[in-house]
Amino acid sequence: MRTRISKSAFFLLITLALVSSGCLISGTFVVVEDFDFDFTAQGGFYWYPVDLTGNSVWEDHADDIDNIDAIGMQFTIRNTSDVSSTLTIRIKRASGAADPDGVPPPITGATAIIEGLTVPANSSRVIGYVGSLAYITNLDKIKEIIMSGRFDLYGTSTGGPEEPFEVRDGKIVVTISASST
Amino acid sequence: MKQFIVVSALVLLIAAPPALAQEGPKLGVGAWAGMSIPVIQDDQESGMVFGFMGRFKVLPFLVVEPGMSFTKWGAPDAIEGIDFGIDGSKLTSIGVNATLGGAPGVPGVKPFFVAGVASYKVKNDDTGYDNSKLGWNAGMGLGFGLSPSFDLDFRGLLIVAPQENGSKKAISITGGLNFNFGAMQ
Repeated sequence: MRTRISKSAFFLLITLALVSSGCLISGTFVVVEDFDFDFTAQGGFYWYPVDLTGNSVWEDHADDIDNIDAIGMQFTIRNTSDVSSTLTIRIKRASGAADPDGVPPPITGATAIIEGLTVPANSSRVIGYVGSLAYITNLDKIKEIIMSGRFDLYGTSTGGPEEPFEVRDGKIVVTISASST
Repeated sequence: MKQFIVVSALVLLIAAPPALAQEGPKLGVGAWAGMSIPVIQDDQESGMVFGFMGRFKVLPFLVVEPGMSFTKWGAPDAIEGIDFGIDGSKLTSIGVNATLGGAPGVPGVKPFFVAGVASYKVKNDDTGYDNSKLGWNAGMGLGFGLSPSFDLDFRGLLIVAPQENGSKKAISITGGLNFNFGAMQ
C-alpha cells in the first residue's frame, strides 16, 4: 500500500518540528545597561533605578524572552578610607519611571546580587564580567526580578568611616534567550 | 518545495543504484571533526566539533548511525565594551542519525541526506548555565568511497538543541573517515 503525504501535511510536520523546539526565530542576546554608585562607606547606601525596557536589545525581544541565561556585572570600586570595606549590591523589583533623581524606595526586601566583595584601604578594584561571576549570589531569585525589566539597585558597604566609597563605570550584563513562533 | 523534491530525487537516483547493486558491508565505524557555527548566539563564537559513530546498513539506501559528538564553542567577542573573559559553552550530544544514501562500502561519490535525534547538553562552566534536552539535526552530506573498507564523509548539519524555553542552534560542517567491517577487497 502506498502512503502519500500531501504538501500541506509535509509543511505541517516541518512546522511542528520547528515550533516544538522553539525554533522559528530564536537566539541568544546580550543586554548591557549602565549604572553608577557613589556613597559614603559607613552606614550609607546608594540607589540606582534600572529600566531595561528602554534598552534597545531588550525592547527588540521584550515579548519573546524565554529565559535569562546568565547575569554578570562590570565596575570599578574605589575605597578612600583607611580600612578595608566590603561591598554588597542588592536588587529589588520596581515599577514606575526609573528616575535617578527621585526618592529612593526603602531597601527592605531587596535581594543581594553581589556579596562579600572586599576592597582594601585606600585602593581600587576593577571587577570584570568574569570576575563578578564569583560574587553573584541568589541567581534564581535575581533572574526572576530582572525578568520584569524594571528593578532598583542598592549599594551598601561595611567597614569604612565617612570617606566616599565609589562604584564607577558600572554595567549590568544580562544574557537572554528569546524565541518567537 | 519543488527544488527540495528535485534535489531529493537526484540524491536517490545517484545513491540508490550503487547501493542496491551489491550487498556490501553492513557494519562500520566512523570518526569526524569540523567546525560548529552558533546561529544567533551573541554569547558564543564558532568552535570545534568532533565525534564518532557506529554505522549499520539496515536497508541498501538506509544507514543508521548511533554516535556522540563534542562541541566547544569559542569565547564571545566584546559587546558594548564588555570583555566577557569567559569560555564559550560546550555542547555534548548522544543520539542516533539515519542517512538516506551514502551506504558503506560502495565506491565512488555518494550524496546523502541525514537526520536524527539526540540528547543535547549545553553547559558553560563560567556562567553555570547547564541544560539538557532532546533535540534534532538534519542536513546533507557527500561520501567518497575510497575502497570497500574506507569512505570519506563530509556533511553539513543544522543542529537544534531545545532548552527550557527556546533553543540553541548551530551549523556544523564536518569531515571524517569511516571504516567498514567485512568489506570484500
